[in-house]
Formats: sequence, structure tokens, C-alpha cells
Amino acid sequence: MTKSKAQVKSEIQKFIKKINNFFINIILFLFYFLIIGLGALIYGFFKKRNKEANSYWQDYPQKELGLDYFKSSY
Amino acid sequence: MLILGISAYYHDSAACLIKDGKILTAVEEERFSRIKHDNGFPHKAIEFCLKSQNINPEDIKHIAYYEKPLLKFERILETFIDTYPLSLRPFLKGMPEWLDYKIKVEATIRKLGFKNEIFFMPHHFSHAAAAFYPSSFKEAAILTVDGVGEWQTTGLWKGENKDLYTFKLLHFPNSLGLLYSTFTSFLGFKINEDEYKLMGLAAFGKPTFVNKIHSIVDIKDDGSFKLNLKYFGFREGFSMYNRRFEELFGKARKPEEKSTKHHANLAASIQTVTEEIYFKMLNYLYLITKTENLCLSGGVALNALANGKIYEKTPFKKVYVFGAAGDSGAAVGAGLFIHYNLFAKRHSGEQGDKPSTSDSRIVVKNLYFGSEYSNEQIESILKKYKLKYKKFTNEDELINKTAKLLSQGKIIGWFQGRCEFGPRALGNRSILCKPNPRSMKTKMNIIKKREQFRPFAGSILQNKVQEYFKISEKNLWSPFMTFCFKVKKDKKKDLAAIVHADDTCRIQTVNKINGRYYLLIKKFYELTGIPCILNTSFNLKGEPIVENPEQAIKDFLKTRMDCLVAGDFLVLRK
Repeated sequence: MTKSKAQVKSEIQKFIKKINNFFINIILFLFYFLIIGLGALIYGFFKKRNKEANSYWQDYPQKELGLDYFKSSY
Repeated sequence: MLILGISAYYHDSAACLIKDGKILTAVEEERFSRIKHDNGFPHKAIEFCLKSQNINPEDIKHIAYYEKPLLKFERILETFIDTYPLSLRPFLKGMPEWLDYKIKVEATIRKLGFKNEIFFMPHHFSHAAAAFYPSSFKEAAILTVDGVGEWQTTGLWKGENKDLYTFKLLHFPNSLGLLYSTFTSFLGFKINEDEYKLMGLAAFGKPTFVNKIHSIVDIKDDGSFKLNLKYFGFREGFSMYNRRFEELFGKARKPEEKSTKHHANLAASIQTVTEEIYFKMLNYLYLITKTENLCLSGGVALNALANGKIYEKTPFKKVYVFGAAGDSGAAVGAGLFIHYNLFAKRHSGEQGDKPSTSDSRIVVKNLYFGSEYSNEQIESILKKYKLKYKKFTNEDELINKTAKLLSQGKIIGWFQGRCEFGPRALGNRSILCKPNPRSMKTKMNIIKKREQFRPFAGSILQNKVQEYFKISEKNLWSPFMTFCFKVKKDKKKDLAAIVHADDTCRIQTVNKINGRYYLLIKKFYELTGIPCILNTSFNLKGEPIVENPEQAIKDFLKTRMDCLVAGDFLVLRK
């Protein structure tokens, strides 16, 4: 049975998507090993060491939260 | 002033519409998408909110998003760095999702035509607001506790009138929610979904693993705690636990595997440790806030078993748990925070919004904020499915007939009024039956295709609750099924189908606010002398609660329910 045009188109699209994902994964893989890896190295130096504590509660930063704070997505 | 609240991209995405502090609509995306706990962007829920109020995107004054996406992204990136090189797989899976859409929340909202301001509330602010603003308390201590928001996992707060004050917090990865979910997953249940099953299983076991759990969680007297990350896998992988965890607690249960005593003991142990942390936190919260009112929010606040013991284990006298305590309710919290806190500040200060007309807050007494269908719409669907039905023009007759059927032991699909917001069916999209004998539970479990160990909840007339349950307060108001209480010894027989193995029952108190549902239970009480009925959500295994009459009819036809009462119509199975 011959495939319809729509089927062929859909298969090509799927193939292109697969290639895209493959390249995205390669880029992410490199990013992970080079950038995140470098980050991990630096992070290791500055990471706070655990101290024995009587409580693990942290104080909430006491600062006035203005409108701009709530408008920011960070 | 109209505010649209939105939560998305974790679990239970939802949208709500708030006008001058009043919740007009609130609904989870899952009700429309039919994907349980749908975590996608709530396009359909937003569309419903606008359509149901007949408004356009430009009529919305403010949009409130329930968390800060960039801050969350920061946590995720930092976790990848901290767990390098073990986190490669989650990095490859998670990054495309984040860069594609999760980080672009504002753009997604703008695409829908919303032009006005968007506010991004910190996740636990949204929870705290959802807990406090709908309550009747002028002053209350607030505990927010869940899996994780951006960084925060727990918060100790105080609410006063329209202000929220923050005191203490815990950060990821130290999370009570994630600890509980780790055991949920270990016992073969789905996380963010089946925590109730773990809670139900706990009643059949003994807390024999408490000491072992203490070796992986360091708990301080003030309720703060730290997880020993050597045993957990949720930071660097797809599994909540790792090999060391299995070495300590035995082999993980597979989902299809039968639950054994060992599994029940594990469930009982984590429930015990969770309660230990919960009550220590609450006692500390009381110490720093010195108020006897308490509001709870966040996924852990849905632990009804722990909630029921608060009166006994802490000095708090009044407790309010917003029914949608999870992330769907955070959409409401974000919206209410803008209305009560930010907007109040604005009209007293710099910019040009008009002041709110009312200074007092609006107490949320029910959660019927979803969709509603007219009798005409219901009748057309009944006709479409060629069902024989009877239409009642007199409400009393419909109530009398339904109560009589309940008293005869029939199982009834009950579809009325507006859909409930939150995880619980509160008498508008429910399957009902009488609460005894014990065999009613088995019958209902077969219909719902649930595990037999899971308990059912009960709806009871509020003025009768003290006759049946061991509670501290006469006329206790617990409308959202967020508390389990012990059943009195002499009433166990009356409630045999809903009393769990530990003699507790999750309850919903019902009063006139519940409308037709209240009338039904009142009539049932007149007929049987029992002011309580078994209430479970109108859905089948794996699907969200029904939203429209067609879904209700389909479920009715798929199961062995005896009758369906939808609007003014009664359908009897032949």
C-alpha cells in the first residue's frame, strides 16, 4: 500500500524532530559537562560546610518587599 | 477590581477569578483536560473563568502567578551543579522543558491577551495567603509546608488583619513533603497523588521503623530538621530514594505488588515521624506567635490524620485548613494576596487605584467555585444516552426519594450545582451511600476500583458531630474534609463503613450553606436516626472528579451504581 502525502509529510516531520532532539541533546550534554562542570568546581570551593546547629530554621530576610519585588519573576 | 490567579507547571494547575476579595470562580485544569493532577498551563481553566463571568482578558486588572519561575529555575540549576555529574539525565530531560516554556510564563500569559500587570508571588506567600485570608481569624499563626516551591519548603508566619509576617523558613532539600513522598514512592504509590493511600495504609501497621527514619532525618526540638541526603535520590535522579535507602528499609514495593505487614509498618512509621515533626513545628510556631488560632496550607496540610491530632498535641484552639491546600489553592492565595495586601498598600500610598470598598475580609465557607449545568443541559444529555429518568419539580420530593434510596442501601451518583474546587468532593460531585453496615465499604470500593485498605470519608450534620466523634469543640466546623477524628465507641456500628482500622474517620461537617446536600443528609437522619453518609468523589480510578453531566452519566453506566441524581433528575438502574 502506498503512503498518502500527509503520511509522508508526518513521517518527515517526525524524522526532523528526532534529528533536532539529537542535536539539542548533544549541545546540552556539552553544556552540562563543560559549563555545569566548571560551575560545580567553583561551587565546591565556596559551598558552605555543614555546621552542627541547635536549629535548622533560617530567619526570613527582613526587608521591605515593594511592588517591584512582586512584579519580578525572580 | 478583577484579579486572575494562576498556578501551573508542578501539579494541580488551576485558575481563579477574584473580585474585590470575593472568589467568583476557581477550578483545576484537570477537570477540563481530564488528566489527573494536570500540571500543564491552565488554558481551559482560564477560559472557563472568563467565560463563566462573561468577561474579556482586558477586563482583568491584575494577574497573580503563584510562584517566581526564575527563582525556581535558579534552584534547579544550582541543584544540577551541586549534584554534578550524577544529574546528567534529569538535566537532559528537564532543561528543554524549562527553556521551552516553563521559564516563559509571562509570554504565555500575554499570548492570551492579558495586557495588565502580572505579579509573581513567592510560592509560600501564595500558600500563606490561601491559608489566612479565607479564614475568619483576625490574627492567626500560619504554617506553610509542602514539597518545594522555589527554594522554600516550610514557613512559619503570622497573619494580622491584611498583613502577613514571616518568621522562619526551611529550604530545599529539607522538605517534609519530599520526605513523605519518598516513602510514598518507595511503597509503590504515585507521588503528588497517592499520599492518601500511604496515610490509609498506616493504620494497619506499627511504627517499627521510627528509629531507622530518625537515622536519615535529624529532627530538632523546634521542629526544624535536616535530611541525610545520602539516602535520597530526588536531587540527582528520577527516583526519590536510592540504593542506601533500600538497604536500610528493604526492597521497594512494586505498584502491582500486594501490600504486606512490612509495607504497613513502613507507612505507620513515616506517618509517626511526620506527625512528630509537624507537632514540634506547630508548638514552636505557637511559642513565637502566641496566638491560639492556626491556619495551615501546602500539600502536607492535607494530611488529615495529623490535622485531627492538632487539638490534642498543640496549644492551638481553632484550626482552619483551606480545602484546596495544595498548589491549586495557591492560585487563590496569590490573587488574595494582591487584593488584601498589595492593593491595600497601593491605595494608601503612591499609585492611582481606587480603594477597596470593604475593610473586612471575606470568609470562605464552601468551595463550590467550579462549573454548573442547568436542568435543560442535563436533560439533553440524558436523552442523548437514551436513559429513562424521572424529573422532580418539587425539591422536597427529590430529597425524600433520594434519602429513602440511600436508607435502602443504594449507591447513588450525586451531581448537583457548582463543581468543588480542590481535591475533595464535598457533596456536589459525589458518590454516596449509607455509612453502615461494613459491607457498604466493600461495595463502594468495587465501584471505585480502589484498594480495600483505603478508608472512605463521611459527611455529617454539623450540629451532630460531637455525638459521633471525639472532638474538642461542640459544633466543630470542618467543611473541607481536612481532619480525621476518632469515632466514639458506641457509634462505631452506625458508621461501620467509614470507620478506619485506627477508629478514625475523615469528616466533612455539613450545614445550611451546603444547600441541597444538607437537606439530603437531614432527611436521611430523619429516616434512619444517623446524621451521616459515606461520601466519595464522583470519579473512577485514575480519572479526575467528573465536571459535566455527560462524564457523570458515563461513569454511572460503567459501574454498578444503583442510581444517578443529576440536578432535578433521578435515573434508576434497571
